Amino acid sequence: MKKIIIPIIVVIAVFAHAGCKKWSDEKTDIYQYIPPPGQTVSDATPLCGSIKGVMLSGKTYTIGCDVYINKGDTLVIQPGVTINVTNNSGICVRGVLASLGTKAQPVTLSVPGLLKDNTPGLAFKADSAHSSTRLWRGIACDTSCTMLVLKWTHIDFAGSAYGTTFSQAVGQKPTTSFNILFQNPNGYFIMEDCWMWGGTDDCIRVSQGKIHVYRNTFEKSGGSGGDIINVKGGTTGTMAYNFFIGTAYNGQKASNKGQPVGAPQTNIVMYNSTFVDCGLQVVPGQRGSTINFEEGARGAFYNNVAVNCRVGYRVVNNPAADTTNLSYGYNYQYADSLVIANNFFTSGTVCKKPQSTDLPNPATYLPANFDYTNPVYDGTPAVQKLAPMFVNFPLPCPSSPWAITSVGNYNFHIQPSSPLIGKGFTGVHPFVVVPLDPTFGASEVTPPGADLGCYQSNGTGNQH
Amino acid sequence: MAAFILFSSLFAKAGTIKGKVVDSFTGEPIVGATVRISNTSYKAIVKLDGSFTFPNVPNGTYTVVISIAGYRTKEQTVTLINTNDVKTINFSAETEANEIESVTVSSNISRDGDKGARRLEKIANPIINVLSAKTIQLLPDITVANALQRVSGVTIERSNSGEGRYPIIRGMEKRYINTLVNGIKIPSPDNKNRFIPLDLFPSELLERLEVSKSLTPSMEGDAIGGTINLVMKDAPNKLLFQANGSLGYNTTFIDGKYSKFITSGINKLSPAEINGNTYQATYRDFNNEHLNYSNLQRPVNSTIGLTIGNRFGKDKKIGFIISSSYQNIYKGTTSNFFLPASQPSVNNIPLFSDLQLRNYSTQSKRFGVTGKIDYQFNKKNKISLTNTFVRLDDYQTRIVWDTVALNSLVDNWQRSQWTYQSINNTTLQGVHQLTRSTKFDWSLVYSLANNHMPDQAEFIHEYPIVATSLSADKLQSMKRVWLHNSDKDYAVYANITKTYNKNFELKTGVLGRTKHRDNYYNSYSLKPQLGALYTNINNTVFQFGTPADGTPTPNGNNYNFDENIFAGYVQGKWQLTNKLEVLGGVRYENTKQHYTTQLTQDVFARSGNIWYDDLLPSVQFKYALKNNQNIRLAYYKALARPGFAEMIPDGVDGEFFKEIGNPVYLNHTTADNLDLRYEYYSGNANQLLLGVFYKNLQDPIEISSVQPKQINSLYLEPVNSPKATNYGFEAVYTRYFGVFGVSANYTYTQSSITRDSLLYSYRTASGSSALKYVSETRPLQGQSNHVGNLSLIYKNPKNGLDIQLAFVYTGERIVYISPYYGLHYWQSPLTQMDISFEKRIIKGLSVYGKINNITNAPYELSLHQSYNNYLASSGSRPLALQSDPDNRIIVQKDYYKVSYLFGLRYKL
Repeated sequence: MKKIIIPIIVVIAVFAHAGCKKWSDEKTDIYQYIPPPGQTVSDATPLCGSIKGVMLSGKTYTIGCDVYINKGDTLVIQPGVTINVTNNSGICVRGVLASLGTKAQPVTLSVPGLLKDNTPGLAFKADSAHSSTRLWRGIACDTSCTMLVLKWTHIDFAGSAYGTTFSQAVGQKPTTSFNILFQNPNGYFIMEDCWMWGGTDDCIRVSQGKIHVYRNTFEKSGGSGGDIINVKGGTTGTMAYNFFIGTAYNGQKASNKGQPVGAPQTNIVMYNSTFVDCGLQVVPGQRGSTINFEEGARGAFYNNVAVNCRVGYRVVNNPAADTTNLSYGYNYQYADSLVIANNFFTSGTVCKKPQSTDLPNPATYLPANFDYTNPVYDGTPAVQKLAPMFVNFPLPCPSSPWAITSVGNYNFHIQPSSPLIGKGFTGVHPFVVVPLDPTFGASEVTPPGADLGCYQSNGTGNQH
Repeated sequence: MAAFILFSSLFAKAGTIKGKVVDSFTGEPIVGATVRISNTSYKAIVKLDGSFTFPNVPNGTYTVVISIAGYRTKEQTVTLINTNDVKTINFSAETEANEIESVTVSSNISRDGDKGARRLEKIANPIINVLSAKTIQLLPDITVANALQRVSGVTIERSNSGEGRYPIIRGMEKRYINTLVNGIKIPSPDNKNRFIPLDLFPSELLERLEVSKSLTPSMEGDAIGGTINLVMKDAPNKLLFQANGSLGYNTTFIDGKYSKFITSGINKLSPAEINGNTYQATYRDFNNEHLNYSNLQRPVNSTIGLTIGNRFGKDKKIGFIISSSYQNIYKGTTSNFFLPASQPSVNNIPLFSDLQLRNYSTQSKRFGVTGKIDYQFNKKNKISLTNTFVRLDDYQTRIVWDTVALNSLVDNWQRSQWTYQSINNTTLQGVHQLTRSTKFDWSLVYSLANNHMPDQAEFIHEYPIVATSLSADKLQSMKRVWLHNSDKDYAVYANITKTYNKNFELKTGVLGRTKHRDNYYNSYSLKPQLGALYTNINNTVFQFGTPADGTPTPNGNNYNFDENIFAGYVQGKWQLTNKLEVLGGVRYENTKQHYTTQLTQDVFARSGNIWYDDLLPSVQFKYALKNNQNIRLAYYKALARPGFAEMIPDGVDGEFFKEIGNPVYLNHTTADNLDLRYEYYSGNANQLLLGVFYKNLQDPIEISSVQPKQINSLYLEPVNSPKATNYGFEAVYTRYFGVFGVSANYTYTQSSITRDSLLYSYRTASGSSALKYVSETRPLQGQSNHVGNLSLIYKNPKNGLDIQLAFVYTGERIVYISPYYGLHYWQSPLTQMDISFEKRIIKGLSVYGKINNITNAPYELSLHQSYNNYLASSGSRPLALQSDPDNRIIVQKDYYKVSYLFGLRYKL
């Protein structure tokens, strides 16, 4: 019996010891990164690495390599500052960035030596807006950026791929090349009265956040593809009074794709934007060119103007937008040609319903039993109907369709005789989710206009 | 002298001599042995149940002789007196084996036959199942992975070409299983993980295949599910020569065609490896030769095997064996697959973003060679050198027609991929009988596993489902990937066994292993020129988005991983009573890991050290109810280490989501395991095993979606669940009736894991859609409730015909875990039928055949959701393949068709 007891005691002792979980726990020694403290900005030498402080009015600064605004730090750019970005660098924001231009003294971020070329029909490869090897990486916020404020700021010639280091800093792929990236669910992205020129992919990508995008002008945005203001799951706010010309895909797009736990459903109210010659890279049936709601997004779009855009306003049916919580109407479209008119209601997996408040009234060109999920119709009655009467823009356009991709000397304000006047729906409720503040907030929530489009006959709306 | 015939009578009266021939040690029949009556032409063959019969033998006195290779010759005298006299004589044959052999490391007492296998199962310390070489030879399978599915409780996981690749033992997936060659753990060529792709090994290299389902302290502890030990052929006692060759084909290619590409244009090194990491590649650095396909009609599969072995020198001190196998197999798969959208709609109703038709053409060239030389200094000292090398070259063409729902487009993807993987293991072993009671054995091991995927090339062109005057066939992107990794092990094993008396044996030993792993990953993404149309790959011009993109980007998929394991154990084996044996002890394992990646210096966790200790007790009771019946009770503790890629804070872009490791928070898994088994061996190869098991896992690892750092894309990350259980019942039954045999096994498994982080999409009271985490309890990935095998066997030693009809049933199981509640991918129950035969033509020469997948059973995946419900939701589109619309949405269906292989085998 004894010889049985001894082994049993040994076994029990060992089990008791091994049963202690703590003993087998992992011990680790993992690499930690402590960023160098932000250096106060100076215009004496090219900026590089961690920066903070105030860029002073009227001065010119140079960015010589990727710069970082650390968590907890703020960089303020005063009116009239010029920033020259060299060496394909970018601005990574982990804290707060506020660029506070004014109408009189805008801020300019650009690449020295690159000039805007307004030649109509410029080949993509010949257009420095997309194809220069000197483009910069733009402004990319990581998930800890609490606020990005851009007022009266030119952001020109961004669109360079992020590359290895910069992409890792903001959790993206090295090939990503957004002009502006925002991705903090609890952060504020405020953009008012700014100008953006050029790019190679999505111009503004909001992965998630609270946004306010008012009265901006976008020229030559996107590359061989790309939506211009592209927001994803968990983004809320308003886009209004923006002007788009020569976009690759959509001007304004909302999707609820990737909505995280605890984040709200994508809910965007859009009104009074104008789209001219948009959707350069779109094949009808595949993508949108102006406004696009898809994959679970809710919201509204009213009072918009689309002129010679490749396809019309688009509500996607697969994966479907949240159509029970999406309203729209009072949207205007103009077509030089039948090809465009035939895509006012575009084909593919769509479900946008005709609205009698739209201009021209869809009843004037759609068949009686029109199936809006599978649009088939002859748009002839809508061709060249109801021209918008811009101050200076010939319609029908003498250049081939989609040849004019920038404003140049044209003027898209409306003449007093414009059919857009007085057709707006002013009952739209802006969805305000950002603070109002002259510095760290939105300056103005322009209410929906009485006229269609971004330029109002009473002088309100887009101020460019 | 005694072999004299004494005719006491020449009367035409006749009787019968019959009897049995069994192994003196194991008591098991020696099937196929020849029994002769001296000085007559009477000859009989021992049948499956061990019996032999000489009918109609005239009365007289005879000497009956058995002579069997490996056994001492024996004879008995018998006299038939009366008409219809029946005399029974039984032989108990003794092995010729030297004493030293019975104490070698990989125990030579066993033969490569079934009886040896049964004997091993009976006497082994852990709970094991064994497939012998003879069994394997007759199986319809030609790789170790496929042969494994015949073992009780084992199912296999297939690659996309339908080739079995990884085992699942009693519901425990591959991460919980380790693989040994001759008892030595080998490194994996897999680019992420530790587990060994078992389709690398041609099954004919094996002397036997052992699956241990419990562990003793002397075994490595990282085998919660079990250990697979590939025992390679050992040097024979006399000249051995075997050769075989076969030809066949897969019926996929009767109508379809095999898409072949040539590899001569493939550069094994990437532009950055050739020209340095700062080199800016251009499109001119890439060659599109291997994106050109030619059609092969009915490509012929072939296999060749050769084994030579002998023992020579003074007292036959030196023995050697070389066994090699080459297989060249073409496979084709047609797969219909509905790609889930990255997130479902409200109430987790699934959405499908893409409808895909995938065609795979895969050629596998498999080469294996194993060699062994041993030298017996004397009866007490022996050393041996073994080398095992396997290499698998896979050439795969994948063509996908991907219908993108959102944009009404078809993306046509064409991909050429050549991967070659190899494992080499060199082991020097020694066994020394130091004293009468003390044995010392040691092993010095060097192993190297390699994986190369040079210039995987893929490009896409895109056209609308319905062409219009505005649409075009547009060239899209191109991607080139160079990937290689190596895993190098140096290991030392040393064990001392001391026998104190008949009743107590103490064994102690140590293991040290140092592992170094290198992973290289380099990819290039190219774009077409704006608006470029697709006509032919040779007319295309691609370019980098910006010239700088031609310089590779160092990332976390380039890393080094070092791991040092030190282990030691003490185990005792007590014969407590003459019926009860206890084996128990404890094992200690220390793990030290270090990794460095090419991530930039501002990335958290770009390098790290991780270390931990495990104490693994185990105890096994074996109680002999009778001589041929045992009851075993085993407890053991085991661990599972996370895979290498799981400890790296980066990862590749997977099919749907980016994959990422979790070095900071991921813990290794430990488990308490209990097994109870009843065994019954009847005097011949008949067997009945009944067992139950229970496993309790702490920190089990599963791949999960995580709250993304980068908001919109979910990451797939390995995470620990707090706990999981797995229990079940297992039965094995083998019985022979003369020339017929039946072998069946069945395993019932039930596992359960609870996770509280499954995503669920719903509408809030205010009408917004929102996402929340919910809790879900489900089976472990890969676990089927019901798994069974049934083999009907005909073995006639007389005419040399063997036939085996084998069925494998694998019940429903989860194949992919979804991050979303209720949207896991389930594999439908699968019954596969295979048949094989072998027929002796003349002495030593036989013809054989293997026919696989006779019923062309489809591999089918589904979601446990109502298809009708899905169809009624907004934005749904009808899907083909649906056969059970109330309960399931079928999302994938693959066919592999029937394969034939016929050949000749010669054995000296």
